[in-house]
Amino acid sequence: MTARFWQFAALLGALLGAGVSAYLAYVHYSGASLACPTSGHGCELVQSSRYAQVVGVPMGVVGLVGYAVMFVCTLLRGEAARVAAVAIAASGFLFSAYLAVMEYVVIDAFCGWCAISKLAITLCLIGAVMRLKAAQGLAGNDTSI
Amino acid sequence: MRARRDKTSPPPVGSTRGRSGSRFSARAKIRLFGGIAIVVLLGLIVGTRLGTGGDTSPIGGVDEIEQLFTGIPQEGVTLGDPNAPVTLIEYADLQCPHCKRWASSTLPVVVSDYVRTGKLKIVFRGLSFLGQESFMGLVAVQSAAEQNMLWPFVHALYAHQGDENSGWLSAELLDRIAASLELDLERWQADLMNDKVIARIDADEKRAADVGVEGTPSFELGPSDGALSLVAPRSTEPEATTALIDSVLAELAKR
Repeated sequence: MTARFWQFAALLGALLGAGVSAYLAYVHYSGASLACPTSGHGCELVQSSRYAQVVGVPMGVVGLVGYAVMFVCTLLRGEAARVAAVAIAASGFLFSAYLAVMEYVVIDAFCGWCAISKLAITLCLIGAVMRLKAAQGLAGNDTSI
Repeated sequence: MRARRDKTSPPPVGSTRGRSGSRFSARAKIRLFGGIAIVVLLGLIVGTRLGTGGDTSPIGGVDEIEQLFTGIPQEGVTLGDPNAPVTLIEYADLQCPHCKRWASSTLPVVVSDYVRTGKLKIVFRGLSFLGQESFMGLVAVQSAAEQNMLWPFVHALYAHQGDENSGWLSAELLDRIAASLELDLERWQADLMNDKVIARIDADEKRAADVGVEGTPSFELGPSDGALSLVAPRSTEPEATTALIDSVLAELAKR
Protein backbone atom coordinates (compact mmCIF):
# COMPACT_ATOMS: atom_id res chain seq x y z
CA MET A 1 0.00 0.00 0.00
CA THR A 2 1.14 3.50 -0.76
CA ALA A 3 2.33 6.19 1.60
CA ARG A 4 -0.80 8.16 0.68
CA PHE A 5 -3.00 5.29 1.89
CA TRP A 6 -1.24 5.21 5.28
CA GLN A 7 -1.37 9.00 5.48
CA PHE A 8 -5.15 8.76 5.03
CA ALA A 9 -5.37 6.07 7.76
CA ALA A 10 -3.43 8.26 10.20
CA LEU A 11 -5.59 11.28 9.36
CA LEU A 12 -8.72 9.21 9.96
CA GLY A 13 -7.36 8.11 13.36
CA ALA A 14 -6.54 11.71 14.30
CA LEU A 15 -10.03 12.87 13.29
CA LEU A 16 -11.71 10.07 15.24
CA GLY A 17 -9.61 10.81 18.33
CA ALA A 18 -10.21 14.55 18.04
CA GLY A 19 -13.96 13.93 17.78
CA VAL A 20 -14.04 11.82 20.96
CA SER A 21 -11.79 14.30 22.81
CA ALA A 22 -13.91 17.27 21.72
CA TYR A 23 -17.04 15.54 23.00
CA LEU A 24 -15.42 14.75 26.38
CA ALA A 25 -14.15 18.34 26.69
CA TYR A 26 -17.64 19.66 25.85
CA VAL A 27 -19.24 17.42 28.49
CA HIS A 28 -16.67 18.51 31.07
CA TYR A 29 -17.24 22.24 30.62
CA SER A 30 -20.96 22.25 29.81
CA GLY A 31 -22.02 19.89 32.59
CA ALA A 32 -24.06 17.93 30.03
CA SER A 33 -24.73 14.34 30.98
CA LEU A 34 -22.16 11.95 29.56
CA ALA A 35 -23.65 9.57 27.00
CA CYS A 36 -21.64 6.37 27.29
CA PRO A 37 -21.44 3.90 24.39
CA THR A 38 -21.32 1.12 26.99
CA SER A 39 -23.79 0.44 29.78
CA GLY A 40 -23.22 1.30 33.45
CA HIS A 41 -21.26 4.11 35.05
CA GLY A 42 -17.88 3.13 33.55
CA CYS A 43 -17.46 6.31 31.49
CA GLU A 44 -18.54 8.57 34.36
CA LEU A 45 -16.28 6.79 36.82
CA VAL A 46 -13.24 7.08 34.57
CA GLN A 47 -13.96 10.63 33.43
CA SER A 48 -14.56 11.87 36.97
CA SER A 49 -11.54 10.02 38.33
CA ARG A 50 -8.33 11.72 39.34
CA TYR A 51 -6.58 10.27 36.26
CA ALA A 52 -8.83 12.15 33.84
CA GLN A 53 -6.67 15.29 33.98
CA VAL A 54 -3.12 16.48 33.39
CA VAL A 55 -2.12 19.14 35.94
CA GLY A 56 -5.79 20.05 36.19
CA VAL A 57 -6.43 20.21 32.42
CA PRO A 58 -9.26 17.80 31.49
CA MET A 59 -8.17 14.80 29.40
CA GLY A 60 -10.60 15.83 26.66
CA VAL A 61 -8.63 19.05 26.11
CA VAL A 62 -5.27 17.25 26.29
CA GLY A 63 -6.51 14.74 23.70
CA LEU A 64 -7.93 17.43 21.45
CA VAL A 65 -4.58 19.27 21.36
CA GLY A 66 -2.64 16.04 20.82
CA TYR A 67 -4.84 14.79 17.98
CA ALA A 68 -4.83 18.27 16.36
CA VAL A 69 -1.00 18.30 16.33
CA MET A 70 -1.05 14.72 15.00
CA PHE A 71 -3.46 15.75 12.23
CA VAL A 72 -1.32 18.72 11.17
CA CYS A 73 1.93 16.69 11.17
CA THR A 74 0.25 13.96 9.11
CA LEU A 75 -1.03 16.53 6.65
CA LEU A 76 2.37 18.19 6.19
CA ARG A 77 4.86 16.96 3.62
CA GLY A 78 8.51 16.12 4.14
CA GLU A 79 10.53 13.71 6.20
CA ALA A 80 10.57 15.89 9.31
CA ALA A 81 6.75 15.92 9.46
CA ARG A 82 6.58 12.16 8.91
CA VAL A 83 9.07 11.45 11.70
CA ALA A 84 7.30 13.95 14.00
CA ALA A 85 3.97 12.21 13.31
CA VAL A 86 5.48 8.86 14.32
CA ALA A 87 6.93 10.38 17.49
CA ILE A 88 3.61 12.01 18.47
CA ALA A 89 1.62 8.85 17.72
CA ALA A 90 4.10 6.71 19.68
CA SER A 91 4.00 8.95 22.76
CA GLY A 92 0.19 9.14 22.49
CA PHE A 93 -0.02 5.37 22.21
CA LEU A 94 2.20 4.79 25.24
CA PHE A 95 0.30 7.40 27.27
CA SER A 96 -2.92 5.70 26.25
CA ALA A 97 -1.50 2.35 27.42
CA TYR A 98 -0.61 3.93 30.79
CA LEU A 99 -4.17 5.27 31.13
CA ALA A 100 -5.55 1.84 30.21
CA VAL A 101 -3.62 0.30 33.10
CA MET A 102 -5.01 2.97 35.47
CA GLU A 103 -8.51 2.38 34.07
CA TYR A 104 -8.58 -1.38 34.48
CA VAL A 105 -6.33 -1.87 37.50
CA VAL A 106 -6.82 1.23 39.68
CA ILE A 107 -10.29 2.55 38.80
CA ASP A 108 -11.61 -0.90 37.86
CA ALA A 109 -14.01 0.43 35.22
CA PHE A 110 -14.46 0.30 31.47
CA CYS A 111 -14.95 3.53 29.52
CA GLY A 112 -16.29 3.13 25.98
CA TRP A 113 -15.07 6.57 24.84
CA CYS A 114 -11.55 5.75 26.10
CA ALA A 115 -11.64 2.49 24.11
CA ILE A 116 -12.51 4.42 20.93
CA SER A 117 -9.67 6.85 21.62
CA LYS A 118 -7.26 3.92 22.07
CA LEU A 119 -8.41 2.57 18.73
CA ALA A 120 -7.85 6.01 17.17
CA ILE A 121 -4.30 6.42 18.51
CA THR A 122 -3.45 2.87 17.40
CA LEU A 123 -4.66 3.74 13.90
CA CYS A 124 -2.57 6.95 14.03
CA LEU A 125 0.54 4.99 15.05
CA ILE A 126 0.15 2.27 12.41
CA GLY A 127 -0.61 4.88 9.73
CA ALA A 128 2.31 7.12 10.71
CA VAL A 129 4.87 4.27 10.89
CA MET A 130 3.76 2.66 7.64
CA ARG A 131 3.68 6.05 5.91
CA LEU A 132 7.27 6.72 7.02
CA LYS A 133 8.38 3.26 5.84
CA ALA A 134 6.55 3.58 2.53
CA ALA A 135 8.01 7.04 1.93
CA GLN A 136 11.53 5.86 2.80
CA GLY A 137 11.08 3.05 0.30
CA LEU A 138 10.33 5.67 -2.28
CA ALA A 139 13.29 7.86 -1.31
CA GLY A 140 15.04 9.13 -4.36
CA ASN A 141 11.84 8.76 -6.39
CA ASP A 142 9.03 10.54 -4.56
CA THR A 143 9.29 11.70 -0.97
CA SER A 144 6.68 14.42 -1.17
CA ILE A 145 3.92 12.46 0.62
CA MET B 1 34.39 33.97 -8.42
CA ARG B 2 33.04 31.02 -6.47
CA ALA B 3 32.68 27.81 -8.44
CA ARG B 4 29.11 26.43 -8.54
CA ARG B 5 28.99 22.86 -7.10
CA ASP B 6 27.68 20.12 -9.35
CA LYS B 7 24.20 19.07 -8.15
CA THR B 8 25.01 15.40 -8.71
CA SER B 9 28.25 15.43 -6.74
CA PRO B 10 28.21 14.21 -3.08
CA PRO B 11 28.00 16.84 -0.35
CA PRO B 12 31.33 18.06 0.97
CA VAL B 13 32.88 16.23 3.90
CA GLY B 14 31.49 17.53 7.20
CA SER B 15 28.15 18.63 5.73
CA THR B 16 25.08 18.00 7.91
CA ARG B 17 22.70 17.92 4.97
CA GLY B 18 21.06 14.58 4.25
CA ARG B 19 19.91 12.90 1.06
CA SER B 20 16.63 14.83 0.86
CA GLY B 21 18.45 18.13 1.11
CA SER B 22 17.42 18.66 4.72
CA ARG B 23 19.87 20.10 7.23
CA PHE B 24 19.61 16.90 9.37
CA SER B 25 19.85 13.25 8.40
CA ALA B 26 16.86 10.90 8.89
CA ARG B 27 18.62 9.29 11.87
CA ALA B 28 19.14 12.69 13.50
CA LYS B 29 15.46 13.57 13.00
CA ILE B 30 14.36 10.30 14.58
CA ARG B 31 16.66 10.97 17.55
CA LEU B 32 15.40 14.55 17.90
CA PHE B 33 11.67 13.80 17.64
CA GLY B 34 12.05 10.57 19.63
CA GLY B 35 13.67 12.54 22.45
CA ILE B 36 10.91 15.15 22.37
CA ALA B 37 8.27 12.38 22.38
CA ILE B 38 9.80 10.73 25.46
CA VAL B 39 9.90 14.07 27.29
CA VAL B 40 6.25 14.76 26.36
CA LEU B 41 5.20 11.26 27.45
CA LEU B 42 6.93 11.56 30.82
CA GLY B 43 5.44 15.04 31.26
CA LEU B 44 1.92 13.70 30.62
CA ILE B 45 2.33 10.81 33.06
CA VAL B 46 3.78 13.06 35.77
CA GLY B 47 0.97 15.55 35.01
CA THR B 48 -1.72 12.99 35.81
CA ARG B 49 0.06 12.10 39.03
CA LEU B 50 0.27 15.76 40.08
CA GLY B 51 -3.52 15.96 40.11
CA THR B 52 -4.08 12.76 42.03
CA GLY B 53 -4.46 14.32 45.41
CA GLY B 54 -2.36 13.41 48.38
CA ASP B 55 -2.78 16.84 49.96
CA THR B 56 -4.23 16.18 53.39
CA SER B 57 -3.94 19.69 54.83
CA PRO B 58 -7.03 20.48 56.94
CA ILE B 59 -9.98 22.40 55.53
CA GLY B 60 -11.57 25.28 57.41
CA GLY B 61 -14.85 24.99 59.30
CA VAL B 62 -14.42 21.42 60.58
CA ASP B 63 -15.23 22.49 64.16
CA GLU B 64 -18.62 23.88 63.10
CA ILE B 65 -19.39 20.73 61.11
CA GLU B 66 -18.46 18.49 64.03
CA GLN B 67 -20.55 20.64 66.35
CA LEU B 68 -23.56 20.27 64.07
CA PHE B 69 -23.46 16.47 63.84
CA THR B 70 -21.70 15.29 67.01
CA GLY B 71 -23.85 13.03 69.17
CA ILE B 72 -26.38 12.31 66.43
CA PRO B 73 -26.63 8.70 65.24
CA GLN B 74 -25.48 8.25 61.64
CA GLU B 75 -25.88 5.05 59.74
CA GLY B 76 -24.93 4.99 56.08
CA VAL B 77 -26.94 7.73 54.41
CA THR B 78 -29.28 8.26 57.37
CA LEU B 79 -28.92 10.99 59.98
CA GLY B 80 -30.84 10.62 63.24
CA ASP B 81 -32.54 7.98 65.32
CA PRO B 82 -33.46 5.06 63.02
CA ASN B 83 -36.75 4.78 64.97
CA ALA B 84 -37.69 8.46 64.56
CA PRO B 85 -41.44 8.79 63.75
CA VAL B 86 -40.93 11.11 60.76
CA THR B 87 -38.66 10.61 57.73
CA LEU B 88 -37.34 13.33 55.46
CA ILE B 89 -35.55 12.22 52.29
CA GLU B 90 -33.42 14.90 50.65
CA TYR B 91 -32.58 14.68 46.94
CA ALA B 92 -29.55 16.86 46.31
CA ASP B 93 -26.85 17.58 43.77
CA LEU B 94 -23.59 18.58 45.44
CA GLN B 95 -23.07 21.35 42.90
CA CYS B 96 -26.56 22.82 43.31
CA PRO B 97 -26.44 26.25 45.01
CA HIS B 98 -30.01 25.92 46.37
CA CYS B 99 -28.98 22.65 48.07
CA LYS B 100 -26.07 24.48 49.67
CA ARG B 101 -28.40 27.27 50.80
CA TRP B 102 -30.83 24.77 52.32
CA ALA B 103 -27.96 22.97 54.05
CA SER B 104 -26.52 26.15 55.54
CA SER B 105 -29.74 27.91 56.57
CA THR B 106 -32.32 25.18 57.22
CA LEU B 107 -30.44 21.98 58.06
CA PRO B 108 -28.93 23.30 61.34
CA VAL B 109 -32.42 24.29 62.57
CA VAL B 110 -33.96 20.98 61.50
CA VAL B 111 -31.10 19.06 63.13
CA SER B 112 -31.29 20.88 66.47
CA ASP B 113 -35.11 21.02 66.72
CA TYR B 114 -36.19 17.72 65.17
CA VAL B 115 -33.27 15.31 64.63
CA ARG B 116 -31.55 15.79 68.00
CA THR B 117 -34.90 15.45 69.75
CA GLY B 118 -35.53 12.11 68.03
CA LYS B 119 -38.59 13.28 66.07
CA LEU B 120 -37.04 13.10 62.60
CA LYS B 121 -34.46 11.21 60.60
CA ILE B 122 -33.05 12.54 57.33
CA VAL B 123 -31.97 10.33 54.43
CA PHE B 124 -29.60 11.61 51.74
CA ARG B 125 -30.14 10.67 48.12
CA GLY B 126 -27.59 12.13 45.73
CA LEU B 127 -28.13 13.06 42.11
CA SER B 128 -25.56 14.13 39.54
CA PHE B 129 -27.55 15.92 36.85
CA LEU B 130 -25.25 18.96 36.98
CA GLY B 131 -22.24 17.14 35.55
CA GLN B 132 -19.14 15.07 36.14
CA GLU B 133 -18.02 16.93 39.24
CA SER B 134 -21.37 16.11 40.87
CA PHE B 135 -20.78 12.44 40.13
CA MET B 136 -17.22 12.61 41.47
CA GLY B 137 -18.53 14.20 44.68
CA LEU B 138 -21.33 11.64 44.97
CA VAL B 139 -18.91 8.73 44.80
CA ALA B 140 -16.82 10.40 47.52
CA VAL B 141 -19.73 11.05 49.89
CA GLN B 142 -21.22 7.60 49.33
CA SER B 143 -17.80 6.14 50.17
CA ALA B 144 -17.85 8.22 53.36
CA ALA B 145 -21.29 6.71 54.08
CA GLU B 146 -19.54 3.35 54.41
CA GLN B 147 -17.92 4.89 57.52
CA ASN B 148 -21.16 6.61 58.62
CA MET B 149 -19.67 10.00 57.76
CA LEU B 150 -21.77 11.04 54.76
CA TRP B 151 -23.49 14.02 56.36
CA PRO B 152 -20.35 15.82 57.61
CA PHE B 153 -18.73 15.13 54.22
CA VAL B 154 -21.69 16.60 52.31
CA HIS B 155 -21.70 19.64 54.60
CA ALA B 156 -17.95 20.16 54.12
CA LEU B 157 -18.37 20.00 50.34
CA TYR B 158 -21.14 22.59 50.41
CA ALA B 159 -18.86 24.86 52.47
CA HIS B 160 -16.37 24.82 49.56
CA GLN B 161 -18.87 24.81 46.70
CA GLY B 162 -17.79 26.73 43.58
CA ASP B 163 -19.27 27.35 40.14
CA GLU B 164 -20.66 24.29 38.35
CA ASN B 165 -17.96 22.11 36.76
CA SER B 166 -15.31 24.79 37.28
CA GLY B 167 -12.87 22.35 38.85
CA TRP B 168 -13.74 23.20 42.46
CA LEU B 169 -14.73 19.61 43.24
CA SER B 170 -11.23 18.23 42.87
CA ALA B 171 -9.43 15.14 44.10
CA GLU B 172 -7.38 17.44 46.35
CA LEU B 173 -10.48 18.89 48.03
CA LEU B 174 -11.98 15.43 48.55
CA ASP B 175 -8.73 14.14 50.07
CA ARG B 176 -8.49 17.15 52.37
CA ILE B 177 -12.08 16.76 53.55
CA ALA B 178 -11.62 13.03 54.16
CA ALA B 179 -8.46 13.71 56.17
CA SER B 180 -10.01 16.62 58.08
CA LEU B 181 -13.00 14.49 59.08
CA GLU B 182 -10.54 11.80 60.19
CA LEU B 183 -11.92 9.12 57.92
CA ASP B 184 -10.01 5.87 57.49
CA LEU B 185 -8.35 7.16 54.30
CA GLU B 186 -7.27 3.78 52.98
CA ARG B 187 -10.77 2.35 53.36
CA TRP B 188 -12.39 5.48 51.92
CA GLN B 189 -10.10 5.34 48.87
CA ALA B 190 -10.89 1.66 48.38
CA ASP B 191 -14.64 2.31 48.66
CA LEU B 192 -14.42 4.83 45.79
CA MET B 193 -14.30 1.72 43.58
CA ASN B 194 -16.83 -0.23 45.64
CA ASP B 195 -19.68 -1.72 43.56
CA LYS B 196 -22.03 -1.19 46.50
CA VAL B 197 -21.38 2.56 46.37
CA ILE B 198 -22.14 2.71 42.63
CA ALA B 199 -25.24 0.56 43.11
CA ARG B 200 -26.51 3.04 45.72
CA ILE B 201 -26.00 5.95 43.30
CA ASP B 202 -27.95 4.02 40.65
CA ALA B 203 -30.73 3.23 43.11
CA ASP B 204 -31.01 6.89 44.16
CA GLU B 205 -31.32 7.99 40.53
CA LYS B 206 -34.03 5.42 39.91
CA ARG B 207 -35.94 6.34 43.04
CA ALA B 208 -35.78 10.06 42.11
CA ALA B 209 -37.18 9.28 38.67
CA ASP B 210 -39.89 7.03 40.12
CA VAL B 211 -41.18 9.66 42.56
CA GLY B 212 -40.99 12.45 39.97
CA VAL B 213 -38.09 14.57 41.25
CA GLU B 214 -37.51 17.37 38.75
CA GLY B 215 -34.96 19.55 40.54
CA THR B 216 -32.88 19.84 43.68
CA PRO B 217 -33.25 20.15 46.52
CA SER B 218 -36.39 18.01 46.53
CA PHE B 219 -37.84 16.23 49.51
CA GLU B 220 -40.00 13.29 50.41
CA LEU B 221 -41.63 13.64 53.81
CA GLY B 222 -44.00 11.56 55.88
CA PRO B 223 -44.43 9.17 58.78
CA SER B 224 -41.63 6.59 58.95
CA ASP B 225 -44.21 3.80 59.12
CA GLY B 226 -46.32 5.12 56.25
CA ALA B 227 -46.17 6.55 52.77
CA LEU B 228 -43.89 9.49 52.03
CA SER B 229 -44.98 12.32 49.74
CA LEU B 230 -42.93 14.57 47.52
CA VAL B 231 -43.04 18.03 49.13
CA ALA B 232 -41.73 21.38 47.99
CA PRO B 233 -40.78 23.91 50.69
CA ARG B 234 -41.65 27.45 49.52
CA SER B 235 -38.09 28.60 50.13
CA THR B 236 -34.73 27.51 51.54
CA GLU B 237 -35.50 29.39 54.77
CA PRO B 238 -35.97 27.15 57.86
CA GLU B 239 -39.67 28.03 58.40
CA ALA B 240 -40.64 26.63 55.01
CA THR B 241 -39.34 23.16 55.92
CA THR B 242 -40.19 23.16 59.62
CA ALA B 243 -43.84 24.00 58.83
CA LEU B 244 -44.07 20.86 56.68
CA ILE B 245 -42.44 18.69 59.37
CA ASP B 246 -44.77 20.17 62.01
CA SER B 247 -47.80 19.25 59.93
CA VAL B 248 -46.68 15.61 59.71
CA LEU B 249 -45.98 15.54 63.46
CA ALA B 250 -49.44 17.04 64.08
CA GLU B 251 -51.04 14.33 61.93
CA LEU B 252 -49.17 11.67 63.88
CA ALA B 253 -50.28 13.22 67.19
CA LYS B 254 -53.93 12.82 66.12
CA ARG B 255 -53.56 9.04 65.73
